[in-house]
Amino acid sequence: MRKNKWVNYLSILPGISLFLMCLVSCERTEYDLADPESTGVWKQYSTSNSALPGNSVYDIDVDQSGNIWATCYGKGLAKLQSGTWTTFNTSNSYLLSNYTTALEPVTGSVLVGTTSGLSIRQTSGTWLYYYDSSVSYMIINSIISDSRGNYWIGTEDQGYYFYNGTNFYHYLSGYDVNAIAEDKSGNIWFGTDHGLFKYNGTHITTSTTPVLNTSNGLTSNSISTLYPDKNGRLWIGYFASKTASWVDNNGVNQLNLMDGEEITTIWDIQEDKKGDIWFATGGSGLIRYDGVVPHSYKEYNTPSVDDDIYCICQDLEGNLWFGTSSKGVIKYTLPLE
Amino acid sequence: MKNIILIKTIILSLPVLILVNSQIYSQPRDKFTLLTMPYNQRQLTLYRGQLQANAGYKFAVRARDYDKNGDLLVLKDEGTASVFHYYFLQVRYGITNFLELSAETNYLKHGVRSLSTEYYSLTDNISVNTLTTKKGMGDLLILGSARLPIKFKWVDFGIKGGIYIPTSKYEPLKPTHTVTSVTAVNTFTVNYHYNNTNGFGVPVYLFGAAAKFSYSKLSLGTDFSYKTPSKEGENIRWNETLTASKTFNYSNKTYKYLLNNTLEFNASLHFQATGWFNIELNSNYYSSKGGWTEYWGTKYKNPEEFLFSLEPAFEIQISPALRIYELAGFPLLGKNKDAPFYLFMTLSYNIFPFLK
Repeated sequence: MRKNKWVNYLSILPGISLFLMCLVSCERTEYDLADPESTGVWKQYSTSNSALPGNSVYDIDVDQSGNIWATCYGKGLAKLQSGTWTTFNTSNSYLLSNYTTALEPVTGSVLVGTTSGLSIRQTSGTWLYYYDSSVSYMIINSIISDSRGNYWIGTEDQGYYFYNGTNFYHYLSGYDVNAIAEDKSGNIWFGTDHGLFKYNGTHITTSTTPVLNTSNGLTSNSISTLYPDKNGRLWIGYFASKTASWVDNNGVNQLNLMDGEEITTIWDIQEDKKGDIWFATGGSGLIRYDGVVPHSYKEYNTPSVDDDIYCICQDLEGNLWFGTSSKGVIKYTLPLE
Repeated sequence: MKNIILIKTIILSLPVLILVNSQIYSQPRDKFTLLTMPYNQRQLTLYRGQLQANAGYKFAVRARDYDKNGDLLVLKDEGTASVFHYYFLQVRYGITNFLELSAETNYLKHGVRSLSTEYYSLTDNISVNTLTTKKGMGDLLILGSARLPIKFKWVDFGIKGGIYIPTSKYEPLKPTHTVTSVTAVNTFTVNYHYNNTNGFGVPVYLFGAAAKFSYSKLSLGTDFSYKTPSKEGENIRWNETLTASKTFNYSNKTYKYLLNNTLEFNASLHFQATGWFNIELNSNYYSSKGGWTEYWGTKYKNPEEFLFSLEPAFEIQISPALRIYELAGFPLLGKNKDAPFYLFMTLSYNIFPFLK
């Protein structure tokens, strides 16, 4: 009988456990959760639905505060801050031309390349500019600020300019320098119409012999864009080619874009937060390479995109921003896996 | 705060304690009578000394799916229809006539083959096939159940509480992708094969309650169970890249997650046609929400799921020791959830090992 009584007392244990579990589960931490419905969404900003000054966007980038900057060719420079576009042009700023072609945000300042030289909007809102009067024209194709604080400016036909904070120096005159990129080791790479050049970080080469061209692995000598990814690969895009290349420790590798076109120009390359590589192309829209297969995003299968896309950047939250030839700016929030 | 919890627990436990100590009774100890007790006269838990071993097999055809708007999608049209094989093993033991302990686990096998996708250029062609399998042992559920300590005649009520102990290998195994039919540098077939496993990855609490009402040959049964994870979990995702030699390099990244809380509610009507044959119509409501999954450092809310199914079933007493239970499931409503048709067969072996 005594044994039965003990067994009876034991039977209340599940009840106690149940209520304890109820109470414990009520003390769960609350999280600020993102909505999965907000992913996989394309959003367009154009002159018809926003204050973006032009629909032809040559370059796009994000500053350290998360503002989006876009060069609207023929219409100046636009900045998207807190959902509102602000325009800078020759009538309200010291932009050298409304034909803006390249930009590089640098710790509060913005370097803006135009078809008439370099303009710099400083943190204070004042403007500086640089134009080399020794050349007949100064069309800027690309700008970067390297990890040492130097500026590198690539031009059409006039080679590139190096600015060390004090003076501008001019190299590779007569070459198109279409793209400049810094890799993880601090090397500066120049994509030109004569192949790939390299500055190794210790001295500036004045050699006119490229480190890579068609004779040692490139598909074409006409390089349109460069992009160093997180895995140490330097991606190379070309004018009028059906492949992209990447350079790693094993040499030069080729990627067929599988876009159904005989030739495509790759205008820009960007790695997303998943590690996929995106190509902005002329005529083939967007191509995303997931490490195995290139996936095509063209107007016929993704009406939100343009078949001619000039530039890509990734904002601080990992969203991709595309500058198009005629549809303005497109924001893409990556889908969940 | 802890004192308040303790006081609340004691107050809430008092009715149970009083009932337990005021309803001592003696059950007939004829084991053949107990083993052959028809459903409409059977109490919610096992009888004292009864050992029950259940082995089940569930075959599910995953041909339909409810989307986020509750619309039904036919997966066969997308080439992703598939079948599940679910094996289930449970051991229950009646410690007293109103207290039972059980342990259960499962094994799941499921493969989804997606439609082939073709990627063309003017001269090249890449074919992509994807197979996603999920298989492996599930976690171990240890469950305690208690019922009112009264002799069951018309009404019975019980509660249960337990925990899923993470015994399974829940992290996905390294994918086993292959490349076949290579006829040129850019003409080949990619065969993705993802190898997912079973299990929660973290301890999960389960608690619930059940009630049963019988009148003559009719019985009405209801029960609910609520599962909630004990903590956040961590898992991995695999990434792959194809090399020039057409082999794959794999890497993985960890991510955190919190499982959804799930609520399941059953209401069933039973008819005891004869002493050895019981038929049943059960309605099952499943709801799941409250969790999140991390993607690239951001926590995204898990989709809210629900599913309502009708489940006709029957039970046959084959011998004093052996019963068979067969159930068919027909999903009728849902949201963000697969809607498989399923058949679930359970063989139940019952003995009183310590009763002569």
